[in-house]
Amino acid sequence: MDKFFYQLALIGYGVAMVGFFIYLLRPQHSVSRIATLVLLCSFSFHSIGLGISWVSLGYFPFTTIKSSLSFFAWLLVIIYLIFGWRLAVLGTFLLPLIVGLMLLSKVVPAMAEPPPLIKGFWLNLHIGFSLIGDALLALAFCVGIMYLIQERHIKRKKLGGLYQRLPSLTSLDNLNHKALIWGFSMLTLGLILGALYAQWVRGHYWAWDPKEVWSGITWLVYAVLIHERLAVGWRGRRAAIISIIGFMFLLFTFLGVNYLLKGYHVFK
Amino acid sequence: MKDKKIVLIGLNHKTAPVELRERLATSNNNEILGQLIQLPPVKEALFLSTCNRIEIIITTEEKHEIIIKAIKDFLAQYNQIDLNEFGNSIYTYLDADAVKHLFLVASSLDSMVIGEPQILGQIKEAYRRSLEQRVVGPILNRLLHKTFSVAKRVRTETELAHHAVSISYAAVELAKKIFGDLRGKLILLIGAGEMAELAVRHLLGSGVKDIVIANRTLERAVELSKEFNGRPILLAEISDYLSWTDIVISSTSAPHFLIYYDHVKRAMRQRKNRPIFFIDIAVPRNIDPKLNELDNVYLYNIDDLQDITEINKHVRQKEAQKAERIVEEEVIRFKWWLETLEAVPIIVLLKKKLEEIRQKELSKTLKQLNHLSNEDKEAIEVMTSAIVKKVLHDPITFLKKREERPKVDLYLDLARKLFNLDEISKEEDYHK
Repeated sequence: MDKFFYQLALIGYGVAMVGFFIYLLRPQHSVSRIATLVLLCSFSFHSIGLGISWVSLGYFPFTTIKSSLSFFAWLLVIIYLIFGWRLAVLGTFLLPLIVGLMLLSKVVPAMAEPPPLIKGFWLNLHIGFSLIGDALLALAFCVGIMYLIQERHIKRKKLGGLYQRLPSLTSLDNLNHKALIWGFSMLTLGLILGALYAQWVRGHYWAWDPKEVWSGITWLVYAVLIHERLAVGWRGRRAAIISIIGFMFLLFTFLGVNYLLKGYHVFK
Repeated sequence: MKDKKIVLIGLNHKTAPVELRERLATSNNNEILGQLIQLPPVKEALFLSTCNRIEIIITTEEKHEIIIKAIKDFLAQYNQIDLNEFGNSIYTYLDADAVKHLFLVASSLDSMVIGEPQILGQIKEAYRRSLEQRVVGPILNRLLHKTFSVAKRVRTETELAHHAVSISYAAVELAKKIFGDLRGKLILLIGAGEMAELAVRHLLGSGVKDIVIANRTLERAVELSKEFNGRPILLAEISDYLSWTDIVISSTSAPHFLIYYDHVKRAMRQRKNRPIFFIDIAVPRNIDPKLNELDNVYLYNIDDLQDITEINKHVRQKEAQKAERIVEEEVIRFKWWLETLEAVPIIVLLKKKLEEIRQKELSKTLKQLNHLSNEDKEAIEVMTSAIVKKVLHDPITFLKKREERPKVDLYLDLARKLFNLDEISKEEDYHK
């Protein structure tokens, strides 16, 4: 039953994505409003699906790679609904990511019951905060791309294309900044909770598991960026580039580690 | 009676560097005008002085070499500059060429930024001053009114007038795409000029509150500050202000850069990379073009701004051609008017009018007096023409007494009006 709703949601997200691309070509409020409406319906289906999974499984469905991808996409939709009402063009950049995550979630083979280790309240907090952090950093990534496009237009003095659609550099930079700060805080909280949970169930905070190592690296990339932003005043292009690079690390930690490396975080 | 000539003497941003223009420019336009009209060969005069140009238009009956020399000498003496220093920067135009130049200037075709609207207002102001001092006569009156209507034609019949406005509009739009909200931003205006001031006005209209004005002379900076409600500073202080300001508009005629790459690189560290937007209106450039390579620094010069406006180069050239055609057309018409003015001087017109009246009345009367012999008729004819001659004698002598006539050809004008001579000259006037 839940699969049916996920399917509906995926189709809906696809339609909304097309809508947001049309919005890029024809910047009328009616277009973005319809796309947002489609997105909202799909989001409801998605939420219903998640609810059904939760009830039938007995725990929140984000403990496997398949389900966490879907949950990640769900969080991104919420983020769009929060920021997109003032910045509809954000949809054009977020929705491909959402659709991609949903498709990936569909393709990834389902896994049997996860080991009992990965259940429990504290673990849920660890995963939840990490994923919220990831979603906010994904926002920083999208906004970073938007910034680079807009900056290129203005620097090269070619004011066609997306120039008219994209908002001002300062507002993009501010949004990037906010997303980074909040995303990084959530990610840090998630990591700390994970370490505490590991200490509790496994007896040590840090086991040099590949996922842990890569999370650490990702965290360091973002930590450097935020430090430079706050202390040195890195802004604009450089901050945008680093938030894109950071997100690449994040994606690798999230997906790559599971398939390329081995460790107890790997839930294939 | 000698022919009247229109002579235009001037210099502008193309012929003279700013240092020279500043030394020749004066805020005391009335005084200059008053002294100009004292020069013996000058009949009518108009003096225009803006930051980009000085134009002196006079009418005279003397040879133009004499009047040009007199005015050059006067400028040298009044401004206490050696003639050799600015002689080469001066251009002179006669009659139709002078008319054409004035039309071009007023239509803003000779401006640094084509289509900027302020020059017309400045010419109107100059004309008002000449009117107040009563130093305009029939020729300049006609010329200036024609000038205003030509400028209006160019403005309404071509797209050029939108060009300047659209440039400053594009600058404001860019600023908004960089900063988002312009409220609370600080502008630094370096130098002055129609285009820069237009851009500043647009920015101030978009919510920018604070403006700092730098100029070579503090006096001019203070003057502009009053106008824009800003703070005056010296050129030397610019680099200190780079760490504070958000939008820098530069429009000086300095022959070298005023803002260098290293200045801004240093300033960016101090301003913690907050974005800064440079608009370089000056030719040659005031701001090192390399700046644009710095992160969070955006530099647009006047050509870049022209390129991004909707009215592109191609359209602009076509419109400029159209405007030139309008100007040429109006010059031809004005030339016709001038020719009738020269070919049919007032005295001829006056004689012609009275002769016409005499002939008309004579033939009317003689028709009814058929009993008169031919000899009698001839006697009457001789008598009437003697009356006309006697009546005309004193006015003509008076009008001919050039040396006693005031500079403004008030009496000529009066005679025209008194005898309604325009009615007659109209028959020969191709214009209207």
